[in-house]
Amino acid sequence: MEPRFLFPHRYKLIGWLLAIPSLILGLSVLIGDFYFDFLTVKLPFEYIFTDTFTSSSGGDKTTLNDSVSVLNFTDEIAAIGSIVGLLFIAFSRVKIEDEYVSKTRLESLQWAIYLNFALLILAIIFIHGMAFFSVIVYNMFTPLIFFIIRFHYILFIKPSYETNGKLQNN
Amino acid sequence: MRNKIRIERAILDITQADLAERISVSRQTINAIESNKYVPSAVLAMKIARIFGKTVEEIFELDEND
Repeated sequence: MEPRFLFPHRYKLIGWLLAIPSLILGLSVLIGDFYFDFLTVKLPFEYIFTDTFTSSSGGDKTTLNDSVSVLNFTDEIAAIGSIVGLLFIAFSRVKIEDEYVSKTRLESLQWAIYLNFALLILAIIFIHGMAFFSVIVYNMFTPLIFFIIRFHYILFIKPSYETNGKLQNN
Repeated sequence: MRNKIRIERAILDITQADLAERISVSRQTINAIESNKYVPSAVLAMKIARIFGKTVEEIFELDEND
């Protein structure tokens, strides 16, 4: 049975090369308020799909005066790079695709969604006010990250761990 | 479902990796089947039986839970 909707195997490497710098950039935006100045764009009109909600914390430096909007695209680049990179890592073929790999992939996806929403429920109960905004931001990436960890653990790390354990026991 | 793959492999003196390569699956798949963590599809079960020159029922048998 040919698995569908998967990227070729080489996209996994492309994914890592894209996701790691993007995630580091994204974390420095979130934690360190880091922005590239060359990604600042001035629009000669009032851009309506924005507000000053995040600019108070030094985020998107959006100033609206005389119908000029100033947008910075650092966080957009980081978010899109992270999502595309993580998608490539998560959904590219492994070297030998077979039915067990497909089963593990689907199971891990279900597992990741359960874990993600369990943690989200905890966050809804315990985290309030503006702090919840960061929860939503992190939650854009956690389903894919949980999936990648669990899928690779079951397929590559756990079997070798078990084999080593058996050798020691014998 | 129980299986005798480990015994049959020992008779032919082939490793999990050898068997995996002959039926074009990953070594992890053979490992999961041998440790009863994964029940293969009918297609895969028949491919495995053919390598050992036996019928599917000689290699695989139902257990109490099936």
